Amino acid sequence: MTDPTWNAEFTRHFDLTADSMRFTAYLLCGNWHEAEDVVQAAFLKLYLAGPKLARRDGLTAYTRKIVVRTFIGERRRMRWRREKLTDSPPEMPSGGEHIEDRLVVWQAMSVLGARQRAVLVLRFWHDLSVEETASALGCTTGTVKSQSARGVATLRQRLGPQYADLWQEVSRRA
Amino acid sequence: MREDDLKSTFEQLRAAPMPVRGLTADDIISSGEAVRKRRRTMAVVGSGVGTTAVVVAAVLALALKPGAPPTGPVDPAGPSSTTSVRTSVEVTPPAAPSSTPPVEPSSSKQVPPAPMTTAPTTTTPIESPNSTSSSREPMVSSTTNTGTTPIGSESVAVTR
Repeated sequence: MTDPTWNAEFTRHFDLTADSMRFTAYLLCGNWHEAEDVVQAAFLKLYLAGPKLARRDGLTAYTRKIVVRTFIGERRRMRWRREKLTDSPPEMPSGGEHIEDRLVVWQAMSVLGARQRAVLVLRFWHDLSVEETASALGCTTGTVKSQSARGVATLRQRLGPQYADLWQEVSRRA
Repeated sequence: MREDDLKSTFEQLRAAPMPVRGLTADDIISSGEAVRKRRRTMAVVGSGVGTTAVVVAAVLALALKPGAPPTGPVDPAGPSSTTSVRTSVEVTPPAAPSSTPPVEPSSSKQVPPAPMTTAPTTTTPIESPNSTSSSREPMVSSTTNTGTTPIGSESVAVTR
């Protein structure tokens, strides 16, 4: 049942896209531990579905779709788990130049829902169009637009004027 | 806050060093093979259990079907007294004898014997046609007296 051709193609695809998918998962999840789990589950699903794929020319977009949907599914199952989520991130980011603004934005994004977070990541990190985002999430374009607008509005309300001051300082240092 | 600000934040996060990747393609492939093997085993076991369940359900459905004969061990045949079948056929009483007895041929007509209470017969001397008067010997015909009449009470002895 082992397909050596698919194994070689999967290995090559994994080496090319693993880091990108890990960072996407990190933006979605907010911490590296959960991001590693999501990426592992997503690549495992891709490996199992690979022999049944009719076309393998869009593996990167397909993998990104699996990552986003796996993240949303995990967040949906978290409601039934006994683990309690906290507002603070489980791990502190390593020292960097602009740690303050990342923390502020990170804490602000933690209050967003999973779908709003996914919409913001796909729209403003991967630069996907509204149609591509809707295809990746499995929803309509109207839903993408509304989720994006609500997410940005929540961030504005959450950060407020203090974020504007911090952002000006960060921009000046950058 | 604008969308560009959010994008810039993402770029800054991307520029930060990422933790060491603890996942390789070989790990994913080995995990995938294990998952496939487990799914195959579950499919084989599940199909076997399902087939067995269907067969058992069909047998039970046929066994518990109303009106079906019991499937227990059959007892050997016993004496017929316990299993005799009582017929409900009514036996008609014999027909009453007809007032007129059937006519039988006269040649074989039998006269019923006379009742014993009839009077005893008397014995009368019968004279022989060849006898003389001197040497005449009376012949006595006696009858057996049956019944309640004492013997000799009414019989007459004929003497010379």
